[in-house]
Amino acid sequence: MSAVLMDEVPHEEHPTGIKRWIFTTNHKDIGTLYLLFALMMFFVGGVMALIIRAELFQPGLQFVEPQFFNSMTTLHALVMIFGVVMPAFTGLANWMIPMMVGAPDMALPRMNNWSFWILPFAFTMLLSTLFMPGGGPAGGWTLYPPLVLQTGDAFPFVIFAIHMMGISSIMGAINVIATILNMRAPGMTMMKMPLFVWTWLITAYLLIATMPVLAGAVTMLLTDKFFGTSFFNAAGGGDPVMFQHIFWFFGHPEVYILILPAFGVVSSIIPTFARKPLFGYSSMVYATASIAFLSFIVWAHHMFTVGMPLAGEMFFMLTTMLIAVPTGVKVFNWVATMWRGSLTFETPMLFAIGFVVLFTIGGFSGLMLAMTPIDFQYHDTYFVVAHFHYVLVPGAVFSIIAAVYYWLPKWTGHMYNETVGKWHFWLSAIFVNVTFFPMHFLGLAGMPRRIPDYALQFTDFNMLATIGAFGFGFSQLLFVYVVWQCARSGKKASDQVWEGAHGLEWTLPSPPPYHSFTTAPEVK
Amino acid sequence: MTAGGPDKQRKRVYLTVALLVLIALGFYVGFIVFMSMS
Repeated sequence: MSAVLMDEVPHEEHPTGIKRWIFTTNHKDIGTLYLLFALMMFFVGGVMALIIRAELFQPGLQFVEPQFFNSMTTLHALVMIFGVVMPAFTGLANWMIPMMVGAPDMALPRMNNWSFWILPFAFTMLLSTLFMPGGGPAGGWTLYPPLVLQTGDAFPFVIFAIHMMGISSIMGAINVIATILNMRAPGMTMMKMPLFVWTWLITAYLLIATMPVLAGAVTMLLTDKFFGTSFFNAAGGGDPVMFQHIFWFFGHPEVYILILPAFGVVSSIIPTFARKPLFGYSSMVYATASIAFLSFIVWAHHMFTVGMPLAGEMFFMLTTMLIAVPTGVKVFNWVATMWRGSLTFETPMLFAIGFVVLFTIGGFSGLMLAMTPIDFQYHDTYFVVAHFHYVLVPGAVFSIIAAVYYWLPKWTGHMYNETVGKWHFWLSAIFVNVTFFPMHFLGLAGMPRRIPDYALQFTDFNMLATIGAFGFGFSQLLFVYVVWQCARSGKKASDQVWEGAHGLEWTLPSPPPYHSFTTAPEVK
Repeated sequence: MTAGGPDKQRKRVYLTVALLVLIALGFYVGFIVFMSMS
């Protein structure tokens, strides 16, 4: 435990070169590794998205076989969820939580190293399934039986990869909770913690409660396939619908695992560039906790069409709609923070405002999908694809990009190129809407998800979505350029970096020392 | 450093980890056992 040993052992010394990255127990190094891994996987998952969109540019089969197309939709989702958004937020947590609570490092630095280094192996295994007899998994990221049991040789590798990702996430979550609960500086009470720390604490609890459930579900798939059990096999007395219940008991809290840290990021950025304290801090904390609680009692809204009792459908419809209340509190508070603030629009603020507007559109379409009778119409159409991409791309991904722009000067000691950053924002904001907004219309007109071909009347909107997707994809190269350039050189960043920034992390030099707080700061 | 010094902090970290691991294992084994019985 580095915090405990801090007074006894000099920790500034560390190996150099490749050894530094393989054996590192430093929260900043591990944060950087997570973020670089997420960036790499973002392009892997992005190429898959572009293969999907290229195939859908016109009706008919152009480029890929239907089986491979289905593998692309399946792997795109698994990569983007488990390989991009979750590792990126874990990277941000590693970098920022110790600095925000006034700790020298994470509570369990060796486990931190382990939880990162599992990931490259898990994803190598997952992606290697594309080259196996029978191809990669093609039954959708939800892995519904009996379809998923038709996967070829890839099946056990996919299950093992998911187990590894789960173990990595659980270890990361344990580390976050142990750090926040035990390593805060004197005076840093729970209700003084930055919102990013709060949202991550709640997210970590969600991870610990739900990742084992996913692991249980996929273990049962494995035993159904290889050991003769019948958990989900109707012929043996099992029930395939039960898999859906278990999967979504994990899957819906997972949605909030992907978005709660984003709320924390936006709640850090908006006050800085509005030069006002966050409006309604405590209501933000309670809203986050309420969303986390409600996320456990809404799962079957993903399954309205399987044939549930009416009372069940009513229950899940109403609990789902209830989530709009704490989410509305958050959106109100962000807007109220900006209200009469001294606003400036640097790149992180642009992405944060983009988040508030576009995430809310995704929230509204989610509210539409929550209504059972309406969901009967929309289920499994492109409307659902539009909805969850609005909450995940201009939602989660925009917030990650905003966070990187916001903290990059602190991490590197250099200011990034603001002009290119702004170009990156405007191109991303325009193309993300060109990509995903037409999908609402496609869904309302009845275009189903997960198909490589479609009826002629859907052509125009599909062409538009494909143009948007390629535009969005290539715009992200600007981001790589800005980060690369900022890491190498640039105007020297001050300690506070942003005029309106407050918090312990801004009291450290830019870049911060290898171990953040060797003596605990006093929080007034 | 939290109140009580390094030893107490170490114990608290271990206790937190033990509890969280138990919760995670409980959910994993619990769901499989529950499914086996139903």
